[in-house]
Amino acid sequence: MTSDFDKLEQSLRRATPRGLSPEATARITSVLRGETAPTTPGPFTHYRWFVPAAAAMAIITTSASLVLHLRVQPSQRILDGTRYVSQVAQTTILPREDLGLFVSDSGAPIEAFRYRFMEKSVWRRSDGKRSLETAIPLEAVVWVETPVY
Amino acid sequence: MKEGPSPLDWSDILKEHGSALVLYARQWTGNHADAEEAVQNGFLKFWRSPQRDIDNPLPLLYLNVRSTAIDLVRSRGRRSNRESAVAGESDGVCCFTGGIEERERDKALESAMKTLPLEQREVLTMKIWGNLTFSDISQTLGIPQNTAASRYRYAIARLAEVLPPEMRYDV
Repeated sequence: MTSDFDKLEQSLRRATPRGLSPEATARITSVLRGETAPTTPGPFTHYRWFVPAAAAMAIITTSASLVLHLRVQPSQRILDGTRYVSQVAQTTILPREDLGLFVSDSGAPIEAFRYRFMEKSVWRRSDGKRSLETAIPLEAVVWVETPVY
Repeated sequence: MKEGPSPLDWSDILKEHGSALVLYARQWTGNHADAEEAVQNGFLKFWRSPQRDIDNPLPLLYLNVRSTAIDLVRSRGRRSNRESAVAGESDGVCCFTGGIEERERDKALESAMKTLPLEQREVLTMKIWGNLTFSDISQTLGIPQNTAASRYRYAIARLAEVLPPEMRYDV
């Protein structure tokens, strides 16, 4: 026989707590996807950037390494609407032999390399307040297509 | 060859426990938006923790959300008298979300829960909506299992007293 205690427990379980809003879920998803995304070049990942060489602020190529200084505007959105890069904290110099070399559909060579940056997320909560400003070190794979003249 | 435990999938955990975690965090924050923020930060803290890949990650998850919610409340200068703050700072968003016909029931339950001491509310939330065992709850709170069980029994007994008669067994 079910006791009153058990009946009340069962009744309580039928009440559904209000869950995370889709926006809050998307924010968590966005961060965790970034942290679990593969960082090796190819196959193409969620974090692939395609950067035409002309858009990069400066590309310094030496015989041994390639350094990219990429200008990223605070308003420039990547990935989705919930996060953007607001500061570039670090560029990584990689030996050229570590760089992947691919060919684009147009036949132009594409160099792929890893790029570390700090991502600062400023999120808006459901009540409109700004929240959770987090600097997350992230490693992205950037493709630079050499312009064909 | 024996396989190790399968890796945790954060999206599954979030899907399964998100609602209960928000309700749990709300026991401190008192409103939905702050509770969501506490769950976001607590969940990320949990996921980044080196101890998360264990057979039973739930105590660690709830512990992280709990500490994040408490920190959030403290950071907003509500250090004193947390429980009365909870009662006074509701944003009017009911913490339960049934259909139209359940709205009254949900509000009654929310009000009834507010009559419980915080230590009973958090055990009740973990047990009923988080489906945690008393062992999990005792790990989360650092209390003996018997204490967790008695807080739970007191909470149920109190709800049986304060819920409207027609709702006691049909919440």
